[in-house]
Amino acid sequence: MRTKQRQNAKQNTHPAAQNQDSLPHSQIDRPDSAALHAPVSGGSDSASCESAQHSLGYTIRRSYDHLSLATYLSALLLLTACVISLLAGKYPLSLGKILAGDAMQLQVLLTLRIPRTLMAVLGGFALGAAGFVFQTVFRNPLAAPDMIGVSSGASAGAAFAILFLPASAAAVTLSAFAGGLLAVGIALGLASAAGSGSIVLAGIAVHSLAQTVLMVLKLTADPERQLASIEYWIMGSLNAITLSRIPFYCAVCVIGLIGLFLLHRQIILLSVDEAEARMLGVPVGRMRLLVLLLATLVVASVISVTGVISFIGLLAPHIARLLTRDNRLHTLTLSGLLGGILLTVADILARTVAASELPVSIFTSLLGAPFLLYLIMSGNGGGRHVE
Amino acid sequence: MSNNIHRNSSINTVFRQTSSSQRRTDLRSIQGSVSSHNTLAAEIAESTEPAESPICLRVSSLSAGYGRSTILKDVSFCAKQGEITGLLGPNGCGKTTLLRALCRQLPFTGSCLLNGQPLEQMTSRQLARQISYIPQRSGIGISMPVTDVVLMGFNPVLGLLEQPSRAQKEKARGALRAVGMESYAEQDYQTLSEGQKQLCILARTIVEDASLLLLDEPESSLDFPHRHRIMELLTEIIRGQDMSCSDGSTLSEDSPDRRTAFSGKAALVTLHDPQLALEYCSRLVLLKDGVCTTILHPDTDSLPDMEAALSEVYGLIRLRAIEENGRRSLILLPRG
Repeated sequence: MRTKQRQNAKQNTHPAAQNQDSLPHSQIDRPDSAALHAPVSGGSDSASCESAQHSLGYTIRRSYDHLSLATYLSALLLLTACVISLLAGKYPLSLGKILAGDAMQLQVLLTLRIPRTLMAVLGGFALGAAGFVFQTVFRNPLAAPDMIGVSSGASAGAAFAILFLPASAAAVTLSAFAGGLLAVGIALGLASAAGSGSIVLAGIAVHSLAQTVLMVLKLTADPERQLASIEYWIMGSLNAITLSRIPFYCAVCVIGLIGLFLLHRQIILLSVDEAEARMLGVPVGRMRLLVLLLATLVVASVISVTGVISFIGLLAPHIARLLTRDNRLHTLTLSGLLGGILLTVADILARTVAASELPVSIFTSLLGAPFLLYLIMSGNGGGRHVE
Repeated sequence: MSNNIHRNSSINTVFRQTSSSQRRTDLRSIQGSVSSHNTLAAEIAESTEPAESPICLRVSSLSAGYGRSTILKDVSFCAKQGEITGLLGPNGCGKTTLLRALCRQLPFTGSCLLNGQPLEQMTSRQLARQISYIPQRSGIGISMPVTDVVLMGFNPVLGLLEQPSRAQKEKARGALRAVGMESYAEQDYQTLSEGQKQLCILARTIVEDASLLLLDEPESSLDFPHRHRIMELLTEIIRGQDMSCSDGSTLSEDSPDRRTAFSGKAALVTLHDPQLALEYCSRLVLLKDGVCTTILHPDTDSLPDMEAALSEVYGLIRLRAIEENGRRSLILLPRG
């Protein structure tokens, strides 16, 4: 996508393209019905097509410049955060020692730091991108995966595993994943049975049901050990992530993300009024189910490994929209990149600022909220992004 | 005056009788007994009109409603290619219901033929390709560049994962130029005024290239110049003619027969403003309480006939004609 735009921008550095600015306004503004009925592919009116091409090139170049700045800066920032995340922690690593072949350093890097950093980057990216999808599809700036019960379902699943299954991290993860999917399955099933439009209500019902299950499980838990680990899981942490635990969940997450990126155009169309979208050829009901299923799959695969991580899905898309001020593909990418940065930096802080590991959600909001506030205050958020 | 009031009330009584008797009867039986009569009437009406404009949409004894309440009762009319057909009537008369039924968002009985094909037999995708629907206010709730809004119009012809091609982007540019919005192409749609938004949606309709355009009160939130601009553009789109003048002066002076040319497209427009409807529509379907009272042809019908028909729907009004450059313009006045 990005390379395609770069090519377009290069091709259109025709002198006439630069002249677009100096054209009298009226000339640009003048209606031209020759173009009105021009066939889609053929150039019946070569002159008008040519000028359209030039102004198009001008536009693409401008949006491309805009795109490059925010996205590349975020990618660079994420890369830096990655390197720090690989090195920082209770047992500090140094590039020199690793390159020298220190066995202990390599061991820590491979079994602990790489999986943990990978999960932070991918998880943050997934939560940010999924947040964008939820907010767009529901046309609600506060929409989050929890609206259709995924995190409460996962929490209940994790609590179930902590109480009744043999104590192992893998069992908790699997049970949380199953719980999250079960909740979403019930919500989407109810919604498709009751007709579209009821999806939020179905989600609320399932969400409160899962919360109740969680409450009952907490009541029966042993307050010393089990209750504490349930609470700790719910607060979210990237502690104790090992290489063997994550491949399946990473694969699910990546597949879901690819699906979401491919369906980006449809996601934007889903933000349009239902009647209008249907007359634009969008099978609204089915498409909404598919997109939400992919988005919740992505979220479930992340939080079943990390526990519930709050605020990223809310903060990252808003920051991305304020920076790009459109909802094109790069806004989705930027939501993901910003989510990745937030989670990676939050995780670095969670394991370095105190003697013991802290819940990562504390830092995701501590980092993200001030930045969002700054963007709003600085007037960057003049335009409405989500109604 | 008193005579008029009496006439009006007697008309109302007739309506009340028809509607209550219909309410008592089951929808299906209405369809069975009346449809044959109505299709016949529609066919007779057609045969008396010039044969060169083929029919795009033929609606025969359509009844539709929400849940159990029937809003539209047994409506029949045709929309011809190259013509703007207006739907006129007071609030709650069923204008929007009719459009929603044609978009298949409401269950209906009766028959709707779009280019000879029954509406209910078409797939959603076929429907989206053949009908372009322009709501009162477009429900685009998130920020996006104007170009992207126009490019949405290509969705019915694009594959699920396909992106708009270069040629399609150029065509979107051309459509924006045609409605005079090219300089806004990269601006955020949410920052536009209502009039500009409507122009932008009209550009989307141009690229959609559908054979039937359904517009739901396109003029309702627009100021005076934008109302006429929208209707002029609509006329251009429907006629498919090269109009390179933005002020529309050539429209009214050169072509008194502007409403009869055709391009293969037809428009069905619900309008609140009868003045605008008389000015731009070739035929007017008058609705009252869900029943089609009359079908007017503003170009040919006599002034008293139209005045009577419009009075039936809107209460008493006066209709006056002014001649200018050999063209008749109609003016609607409240009763004096």
